[in-house]
Amino acid sequence: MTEPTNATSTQESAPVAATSGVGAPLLICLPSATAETVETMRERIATTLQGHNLFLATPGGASAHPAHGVTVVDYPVASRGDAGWALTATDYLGAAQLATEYDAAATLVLGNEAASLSVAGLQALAEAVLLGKADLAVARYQTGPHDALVSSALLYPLTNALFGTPAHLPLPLDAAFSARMAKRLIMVARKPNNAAQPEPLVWPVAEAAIASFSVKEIDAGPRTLPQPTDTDLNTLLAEIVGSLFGDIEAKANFWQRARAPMPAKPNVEPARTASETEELEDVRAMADSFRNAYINLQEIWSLVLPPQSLLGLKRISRAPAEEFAMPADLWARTIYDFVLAYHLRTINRGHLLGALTPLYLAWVASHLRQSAGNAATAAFHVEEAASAFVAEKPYIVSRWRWPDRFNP
Amino acid sequence: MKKPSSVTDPLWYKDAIIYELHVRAFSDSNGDGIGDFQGLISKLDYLQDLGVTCLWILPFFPSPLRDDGYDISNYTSVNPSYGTIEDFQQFLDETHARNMQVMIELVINHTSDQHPWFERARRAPKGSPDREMYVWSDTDKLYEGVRIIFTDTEKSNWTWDEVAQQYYWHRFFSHQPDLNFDNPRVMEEVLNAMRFWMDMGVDGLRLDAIPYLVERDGTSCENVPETHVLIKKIRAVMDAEYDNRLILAEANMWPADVRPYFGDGDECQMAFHFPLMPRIYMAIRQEDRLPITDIMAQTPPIPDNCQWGLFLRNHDELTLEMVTDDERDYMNMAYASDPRMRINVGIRRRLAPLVDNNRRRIELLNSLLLSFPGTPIMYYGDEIGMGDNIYLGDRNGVRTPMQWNSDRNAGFSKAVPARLYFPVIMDPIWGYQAINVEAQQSDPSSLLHWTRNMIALRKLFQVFGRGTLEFLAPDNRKILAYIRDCAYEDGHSETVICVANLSRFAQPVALDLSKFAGRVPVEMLGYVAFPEVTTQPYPLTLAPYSFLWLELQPAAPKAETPTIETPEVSAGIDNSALALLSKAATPSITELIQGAGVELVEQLLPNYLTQQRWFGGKSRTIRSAKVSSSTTVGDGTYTLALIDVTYDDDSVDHYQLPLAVASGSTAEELRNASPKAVLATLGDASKGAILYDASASEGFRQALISLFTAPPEADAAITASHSPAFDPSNLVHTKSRVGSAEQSNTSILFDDVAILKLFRRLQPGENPDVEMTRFLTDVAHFSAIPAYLGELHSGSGAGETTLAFLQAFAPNEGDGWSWFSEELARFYEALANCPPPVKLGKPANFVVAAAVPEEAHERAGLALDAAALLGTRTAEMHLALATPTNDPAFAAEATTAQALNVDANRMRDQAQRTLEALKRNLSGVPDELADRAALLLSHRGDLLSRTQALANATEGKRIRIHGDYHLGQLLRSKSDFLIVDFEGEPARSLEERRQKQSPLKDVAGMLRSFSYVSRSALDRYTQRRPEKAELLSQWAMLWENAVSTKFLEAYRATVQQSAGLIPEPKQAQSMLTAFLLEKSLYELLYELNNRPTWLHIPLNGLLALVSSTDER
Repeated sequence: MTEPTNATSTQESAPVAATSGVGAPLLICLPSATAETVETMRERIATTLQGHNLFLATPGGASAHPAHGVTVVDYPVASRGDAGWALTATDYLGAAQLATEYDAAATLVLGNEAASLSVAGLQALAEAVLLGKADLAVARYQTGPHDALVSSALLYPLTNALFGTPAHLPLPLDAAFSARMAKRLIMVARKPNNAAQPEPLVWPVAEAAIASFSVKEIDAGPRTLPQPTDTDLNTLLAEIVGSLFGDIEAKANFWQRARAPMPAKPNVEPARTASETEELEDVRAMADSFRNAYINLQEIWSLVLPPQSLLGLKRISRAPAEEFAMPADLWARTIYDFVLAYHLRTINRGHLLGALTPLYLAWVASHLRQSAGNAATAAFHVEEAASAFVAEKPYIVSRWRWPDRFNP
Repeated sequence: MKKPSSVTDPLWYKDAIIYELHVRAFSDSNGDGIGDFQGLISKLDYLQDLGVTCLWILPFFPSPLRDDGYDISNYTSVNPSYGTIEDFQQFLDETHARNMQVMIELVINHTSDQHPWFERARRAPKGSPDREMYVWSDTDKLYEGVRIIFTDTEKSNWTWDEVAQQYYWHRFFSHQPDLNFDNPRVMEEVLNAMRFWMDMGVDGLRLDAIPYLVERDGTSCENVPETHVLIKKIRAVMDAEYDNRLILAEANMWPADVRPYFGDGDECQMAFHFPLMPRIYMAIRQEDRLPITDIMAQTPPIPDNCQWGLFLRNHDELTLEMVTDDERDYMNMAYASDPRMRINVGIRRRLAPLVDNNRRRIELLNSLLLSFPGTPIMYYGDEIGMGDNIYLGDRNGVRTPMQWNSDRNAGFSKAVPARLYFPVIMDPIWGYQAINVEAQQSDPSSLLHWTRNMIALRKLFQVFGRGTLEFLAPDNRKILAYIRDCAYEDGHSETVICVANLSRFAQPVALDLSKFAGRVPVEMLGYVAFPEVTTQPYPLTLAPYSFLWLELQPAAPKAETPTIETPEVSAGIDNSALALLSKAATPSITELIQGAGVELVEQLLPNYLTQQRWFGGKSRTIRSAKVSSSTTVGDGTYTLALIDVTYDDDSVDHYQLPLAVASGSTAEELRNASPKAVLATLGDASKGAILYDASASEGFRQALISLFTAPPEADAAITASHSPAFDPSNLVHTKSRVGSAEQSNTSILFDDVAILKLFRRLQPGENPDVEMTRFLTDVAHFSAIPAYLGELHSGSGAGETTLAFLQAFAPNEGDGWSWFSEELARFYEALANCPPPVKLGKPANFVVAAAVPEEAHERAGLALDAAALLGTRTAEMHLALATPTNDPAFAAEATTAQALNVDANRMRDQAQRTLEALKRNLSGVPDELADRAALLLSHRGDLLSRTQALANATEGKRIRIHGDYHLGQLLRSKSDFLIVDFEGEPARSLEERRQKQSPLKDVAGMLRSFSYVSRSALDRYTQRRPEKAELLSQWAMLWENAVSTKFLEAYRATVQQSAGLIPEPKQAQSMLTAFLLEKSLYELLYELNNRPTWLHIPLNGLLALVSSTDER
């Protein structure tokens, strides 16, 4: 069970004191860091995590001289992933294999632009595993209304509802894991992957959940979030969502029974305003795009979605930009129907995921309009979606168990 | 180095869905009219989509095909009609790539007579290794008397071979000579064949016809012990050389005879459950669950790594070997009216034609297949409801080509139709134009879609493949209800209730789910939550042939338990108590119960107690409930509190209540799993700590057990003692759970080893149940009871109190009352359309040995046997209780006039009290009974004088007796009875219950119980068919007389071993009549006050007694 985000973990504090972890290796992997980043991180690690038996793994690291009490080791280039914006299966595999090799008590694997990760965030990630609070610690960053939208719209609500683990970034950029989690990650990352994916993904939060390992979300403060190199949203969405849907399919007999906690909504009043904001122009464009999609994709959507959902989408397509809103429950049911269609192979999976993009953009439009540039309001909207996914979970379970097309 | 497998889980077959198919029948890729491996490969996506996980391929080896491939002429090749060995390897790889496994046949009992081994054997010299590959004899008299299996075609198990000039042995067709496993070379060849296929990656082997491998003179040549040596050898080689492979046994035998083929988990991992199949069909036709529950009761436990293989139909006939002659006749009449539908000892039809193509019946049968304990095996084509062709010979009617679409040859082959190995089915109902895969794939409501959904659903729940089975016994026998339960290593568990309506009409049912009180059944197909289970019967209504799978989930947490710090409850409580609760840390149970918190607890108790099943004072008003003492149990986490409950009439009862405090996730789990155990939430509800009845905690239950296993402490408040024959260390590492059956106490089960009865209401002095069971176990060594293992007690001397009683766990199929009730339900059902019995028999009597009419033997043979067995067990119990001893509590005493007078006066009081009450309430007696009630009152003088007859009986001994002896105090265990609950009548004081009495009092109790069970079953039946009441009451009379007579006969015969224990017959009869009178009068008074609709049972009993003048 994930513990609530601990606000104190964002505060700058003293270096992690050497406790029971003295002597046990702490491995920090930087699979994709530049030489400059490596140097920065080495100093930071030495300062922040002093007292531990520190190993820093970077590509070509074996040639570096030990310094500041940090042993630098080679991160095998062959296992490097290059998604850039999140850790991939190869990142986990490389880190976890090294962890086993060095018998690491805890392993941190940090993604691109790791130097922008706060010292407190780094420290809190390590501490969560070293002090036995969690088998998996994943970072959550301070984000604005425009950030991490795929996670907010889909990945977080689905993972939370189905696996009962509220991690806002289920595909983390920075993570820490225990020795036993390392073993599990090796097993998972080695599994044959979908050949359609250029860079296979692993869903560590879901893996930890089904292994009954503890997961802790670390409030890591601000961080530079690397952007995907592939700018084609359709492709990117298909890769990420396809991978998650596949993972959900593989873990069906777990999530059919896992109970999700209801995410707590942030204590702010939502600014449900239709006033002209700088987002409204974007919303208008996305709403127009959705209207077109509604006309063009109706045939495909009607294979996937029941009449009640199609009716809901029709209503949205008619709404002006100022009132454009994707109701949270409709969004949740729509995604669940796509998960099911993916499982049943109702239509070609590529086409199916392609047909999801306009719906995702409709949610984004709705999100931007409702958050009106306000981070707190945006957060509220995200939690509202997550709550709807939890509330609608019986819908996916019943549809999964008895996938009769004759439904409301 | 072992060769790896396509699966990682060694128990994969437990979760498998097996699909049986014949390559020849599935799909033809080359247009020669015969299915082949390439055709099969092209259909693997279909099978994957269907959801099956293991393909069982019928023999595909080179063969003359005179027995559908079971006559093999080469063990290590592929029949050219089906493809090549490379085709098979490709099929294997492609199947594995789809996450499916492959099981093939290893036919090792016999070969084809065209196998090169046989060709060589018949020409080799007698006694040479080549000749000895088979079983030869100069005479056909060897192994004489061994049954012939294929009775329709074979006249002998021996056939003369002109070339060899000897007879050769064959258990099946004469062209299938049996291999001779006494020749070591045969085993070598078998292992070579096994290695050949397993090296390629085959996951499982079905061992065909294994009971017949070895022949021994003077035996039936079936299941001889040497067979198991062979199987163990095959298994050992397989395990040594390969990972995670499977052997499935084909042994068409009773479950108890199949059991040895599992060995100790070191022979076959799976075996077919043959007798279940016909009984499922019988149950649905008779609309009665009994055939199914009966055969499952005869099914022994199997090793943990083993599994039954279940099926509805297969490539052979629906075998009727494992049924009685009557049942076979019934099955033939019900399912094979046309003789062409029969073959050998069975019915050669497919699933859908067997049930008249009724979709609901097909679904119901499949629901049983998928939810019964075992691995389901489906036969190709049954997923679309394919028909059969009874005009084809042998069993080929169910082996016709798979129907893929409505094109030529059903899409099976592009050959000209005449070239097909068998014609496709073409009639208007079953023909391929009407029934085919393509059409059903396009129809979302088709049987194919339904089957696919059901398979997918089953695969989500491992409990179906791995869980335990427990039948429920609702009154309505048209309902089959059972619990599947599985606890996994990671601590989670799954519990599923399956309910099936075997009837063609809607049926009501009320299930006893009280042990799951507080949990929520969630219908598994639709994920629909049903109302929460309570301690009351759980009502359901099922549509015709419908079924429900209900997963029991913990109830959603409710804030219904009181929070101690709420102002209403805490008013008047001193500040120190509230301060305790407002501490940052959760208070310990010791702080709470021994400190200031005790007042808080005492405020909660009255409300809590009245909600507990075990609390006996619910109808009274509690004035106060005080914690009079408490004893720490375990490491201080738990306390055993003694509660003094004072009622408004100043009377006081003493109860024990184990208490503990839990917080965090432990508290959350307890709230979900045992909401009724929570007394209160402590402090701020958000902190979530709870005060609860510690019997809900595994930790507490283990702490109780540790009192038996740990060395005794000096001055311990609770002490344990145990039987010298019992080693308490057997309880270490057992897992416990709280039972549901107990009403007034709490029973804790420790695996299948022991049951600990935690007494709730405490009475000073020795508990009679404990005392009696201990004597019967340790002194008398009486085995027809769950053995005494130990007890917990507090205090000493006169103040000693029994706190808990540990007994051996006794597996059983319900109590004696339920067993006889079910027998009677069948009895009345069978006789409803028969004429009345010719003779009614006579009541049981010590003086005259009454003859039991033949009709009773014919119609109620099982019940008569059971009654006789019970008579024997009852007498054995009395003999055991009369065991010579120096213990004054048990030493038998001579009957004295004084003691008899006391008894006679007690009976007279009972008679007077009852007759007064009857007179007083005469106007309230149901109209139809008024005359008989008045008649009984007119016999007042006679009744009173009969009670005094007891005082004249001076013979016989007085011993400790059961004291509350009736059918409800018996457990039916396999084919025997166990006697339980020696507590005596709860309404009487402990002193009264421990008095010695005539054993005939127990005999009278049981005879009255026979009367009750026959009449109550009759009432239930005639509620449905009132027009049969008069007729069946005569059969009820016959049943009661016959059963009582058999019981008494057997009792007398056995009890005579102790001379003088009961008086000579005439006196014994007088005493028995007096005790029957007393019991009937007690019953009359009880029914008058509580259940007037049952009044007729004791009333008729009493009238029968007063009219039995002749036999006094």
